[in-house]
Amino acid sequence: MSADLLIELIGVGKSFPKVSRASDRLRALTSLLLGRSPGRVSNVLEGIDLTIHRGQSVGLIGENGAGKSTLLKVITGVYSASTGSVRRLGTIAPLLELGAGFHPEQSGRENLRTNALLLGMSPAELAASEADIIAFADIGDYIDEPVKHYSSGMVVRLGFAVIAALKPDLLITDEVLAVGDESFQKKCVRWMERYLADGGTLVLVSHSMYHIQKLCQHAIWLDRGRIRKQGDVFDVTQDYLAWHEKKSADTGIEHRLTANGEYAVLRFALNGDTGTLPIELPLGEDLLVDVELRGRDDRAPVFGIGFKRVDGTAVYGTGSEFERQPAKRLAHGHFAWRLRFPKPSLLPGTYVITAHALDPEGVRLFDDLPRTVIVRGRTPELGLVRLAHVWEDPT
Amino acid sequence: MNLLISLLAHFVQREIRERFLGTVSGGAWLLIGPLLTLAAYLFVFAEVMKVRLHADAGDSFVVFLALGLWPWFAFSESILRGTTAIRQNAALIGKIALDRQLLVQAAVLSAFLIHGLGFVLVLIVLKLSGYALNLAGLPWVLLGLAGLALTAYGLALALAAAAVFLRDIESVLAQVLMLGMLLTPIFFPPSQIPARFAWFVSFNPLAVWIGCIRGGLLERGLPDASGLVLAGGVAIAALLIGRFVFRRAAPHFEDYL
Repeated sequence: MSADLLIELIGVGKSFPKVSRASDRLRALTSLLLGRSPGRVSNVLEGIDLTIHRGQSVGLIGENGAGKSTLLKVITGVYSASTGSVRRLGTIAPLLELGAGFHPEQSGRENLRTNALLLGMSPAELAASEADIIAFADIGDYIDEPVKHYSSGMVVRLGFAVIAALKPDLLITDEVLAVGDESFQKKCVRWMERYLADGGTLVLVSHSMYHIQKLCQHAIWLDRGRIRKQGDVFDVTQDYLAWHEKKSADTGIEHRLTANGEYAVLRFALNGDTGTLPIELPLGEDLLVDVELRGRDDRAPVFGIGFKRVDGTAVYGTGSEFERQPAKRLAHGHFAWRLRFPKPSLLPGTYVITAHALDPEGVRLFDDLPRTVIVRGRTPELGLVRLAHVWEDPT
Repeated sequence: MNLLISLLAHFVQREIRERFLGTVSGGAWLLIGPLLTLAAYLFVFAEVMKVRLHADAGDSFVVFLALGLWPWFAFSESILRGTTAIRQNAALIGKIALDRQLLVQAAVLSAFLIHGLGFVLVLIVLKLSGYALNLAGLPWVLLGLAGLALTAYGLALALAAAAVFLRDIESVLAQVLMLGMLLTPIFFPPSQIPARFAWFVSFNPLAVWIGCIRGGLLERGLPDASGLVLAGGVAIAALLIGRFVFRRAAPHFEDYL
């Protein structure tokens, strides 16, 4: 396996200096010349260990500011690591900020040559593929115009065409393919699919878990400059989503009605668990809900149950009143329901299931008790729930 | 290695093209520019200030000036361009992995190529105009240019690295180079320098290299061996120091650009 190693980072850290005054710069230069570190720094990456092997596609996820772009620049060698070691074996093509290194005054042809040579193409290869690159970019006579006259789409086309001709060992990209017109996008996607099918190696940065899960087998979750988790793409993306959703819920409006004692949720168990911690529900397993409510004057309250995604999106709700399901009276003023959801169609993610206690008329809400459920599993499907469907022969 | 050379060649080409891109005269400027410059300096120094060459009798001031001016142009412009090479290409440095020395090399090399070509054209014009030029002395010219280029490259490496951190360098550099031009016998023969400053000129390595060029083509006044050793030592020292400074600072360029 080590023969196929493309990238190896060991204990890599990257820090940027804090430069506020001009005198800091002089001090930084002096310390660098003396072989010391350049004064006050802020760490953007710390202790990153990772390897990328040939044919392995890796998704890089994390919040904005987690250090994803910096990590990519360290991998490609645009930035040098402040600490640790980086090994690169093979050619790396960054498909990021396409055309960012282009010189605005120079023609597209000139820029594509510079770009190709900088990315490691030999002059002979360049001469052989220049016509192909220009054909792929498909920007017509503009190729001999200065790049400053290009539209942003044309810059991207040209940048992509160079990468496509390069056939790199490792391709690094983000959602850059979402630019350009539709026909060019299709061309890019087709190229990318062929690249992957031919055993190409990809590092993809994306906020779209769909793309990550579709294109990668392995994922790395970067959180404040450190690797929070890496491994199988489904495990990592689900944990990331759960964490993310919880985080946005914590900062959102979360109000809980306090029980005034007349009608209240006494017990709310999910698959037998009555704790307050989230429970895990493997995809495709039954969910059993046990609930006990208190009712004033021994009158049975109305029980309601609601499913929400952690971000507050309502998924499903029902209640004892709509479904005319009488309670089982356990004791004086003490009522119970048991409700089974056979193989609920919830897709992986984090959900909040809330038990509600209403007055016997089902008019006023007296109490609610939320529980968190994390649905785990591997599926490339999207959304909240699986809709029943059948693939049929087109006639 | 091959790749580095082809990249360097590409960057030199690009640098040169950039100089002439958008100028109507294009390549013609290569000849017109130097001749205009020469005419301007001639007017000031030969007509207005009447610099005399009696000590070096037999030489024409035109030839004397031309032989000093172009090597100096190449030297001073290569330092100026080399120093700004990193900052000018900041966009490239933040986006693409490349050996950053290459940018300085390309700047120095292209300045020497452009002014070297100008120099050749001026020499041809002078020769055709009937001035005596000893073409057998060309190896001396090449030695002088190589010495200047090496010194310029070493200085440019150190200055380019320092200029990333200290913005002052770029603004002061033009004045310092102007001073350097006056302290190097470009406009006047070394024999005219007052005795109390003579030691400085004899220690000025640039004067030694320019002395090689003039001496070679005019068949007199070649620098002595001690001067050559000194100037060679300075060039090598500049190169070593420049490389050291650049190597230490280069991994941190992106943080300060």
